[in-house]
Amino acid sequence: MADTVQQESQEENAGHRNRLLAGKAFVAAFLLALIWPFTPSIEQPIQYNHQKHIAAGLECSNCHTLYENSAWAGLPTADACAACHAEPVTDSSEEAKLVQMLSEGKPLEWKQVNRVPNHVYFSHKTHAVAGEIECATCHGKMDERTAPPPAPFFEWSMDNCINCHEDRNASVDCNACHR
Amino acid sequence: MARWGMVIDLDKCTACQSCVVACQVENNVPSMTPEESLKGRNISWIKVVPFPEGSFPEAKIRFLPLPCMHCDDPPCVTVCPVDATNINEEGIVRQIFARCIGCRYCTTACPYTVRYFNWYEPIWPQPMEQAHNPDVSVRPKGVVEKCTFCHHRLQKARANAIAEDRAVVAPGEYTPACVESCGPKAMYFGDLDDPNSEVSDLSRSPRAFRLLEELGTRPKVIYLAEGERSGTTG
Repeated sequence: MADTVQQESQEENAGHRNRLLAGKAFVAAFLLALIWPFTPSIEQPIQYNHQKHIAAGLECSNCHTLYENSAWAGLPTADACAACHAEPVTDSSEEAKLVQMLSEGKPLEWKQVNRVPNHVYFSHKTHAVAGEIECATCHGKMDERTAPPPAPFFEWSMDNCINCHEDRNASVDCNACHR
Repeated sequence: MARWGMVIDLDKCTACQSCVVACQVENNVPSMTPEESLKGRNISWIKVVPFPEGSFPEAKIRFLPLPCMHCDDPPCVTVCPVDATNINEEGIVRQIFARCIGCRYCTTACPYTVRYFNWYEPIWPQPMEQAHNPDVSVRPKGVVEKCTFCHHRLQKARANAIAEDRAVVAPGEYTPACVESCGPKAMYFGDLDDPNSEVSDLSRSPRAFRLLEELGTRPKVIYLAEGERSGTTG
């Protein structure tokens, strides 16, 4: 009888320890989640300097060739860079990396920073040309950026889209954007 | 403001199913296996429904292409608890896939049975996966989908109109894939409110009828009767 009681109390203790352990693990996981980098920054193959290029007289459409006449903006191909950078123009280490890539014939794999969900239809042409919205409204001041943006400037949420559409009297019909 | 509608001439329709195939390709509709099809779980935004009549030797079969009727008074919209389906001012009964919670009230409410539930994660044979239409989103498992009158084509046509500083989409600038692909030219599409459009002209034909008109749904897909009725009145 006494043995059974002792055994039961031992089991109870073990259960208590397990619960304590689970609690500790939960707190640890919670604290880890707080400091975990949820939005990893987007790394580009070349640390492209927008400020320098815009100051040198490049237009947005020189590299983002599609934005004025299609839904997409387009990202520059290696050929577009090679037009000026077949030989080094400066002593920048990033340029040296680019020249090296070009000479090896490697494609430039830019990563897309701004992305709307698959079920949304977004046209650059309609916004930038017909709507006459400045690029900076959604992309921030690119002429001040010395490195590629690590994250989108604009938060692509439906609330943000709708707010702007309402402010500018643009269509808020579901089908105007959803597909 | 346009009121988009479709006219299908049953005398011209040969039931070739090209509209069905064109629709599936245009709208990224997944193909199903025969087993799922037997359970009635295949998705086909437009289907050709056979109506067998009589028995041998007087047996006859009629075919009816059946897309969403885009009713002016749609029963599906009334029952949707989350406003995932509603009718816009141009008369298109839209389906916002991202908003649908998959309760399937609308599939039950629709008297034409043209709403389809995604019972499975959509899959395609490998090379077809890369041939999706980028203008149409792929619907996930658990949402209802249906014919949208190819409204992504209207989005593009409207974007063109805006770019060219036109207030409205020009006639013929926006046509759904089924109408475009119809070999015998049995399908017409356009603005029902424009008295000069082909569809509004045909909708006033004595051959014109609408499906289950007595329910008061006021469909915007109008059929032109075939056979003896067309012989005497058409």
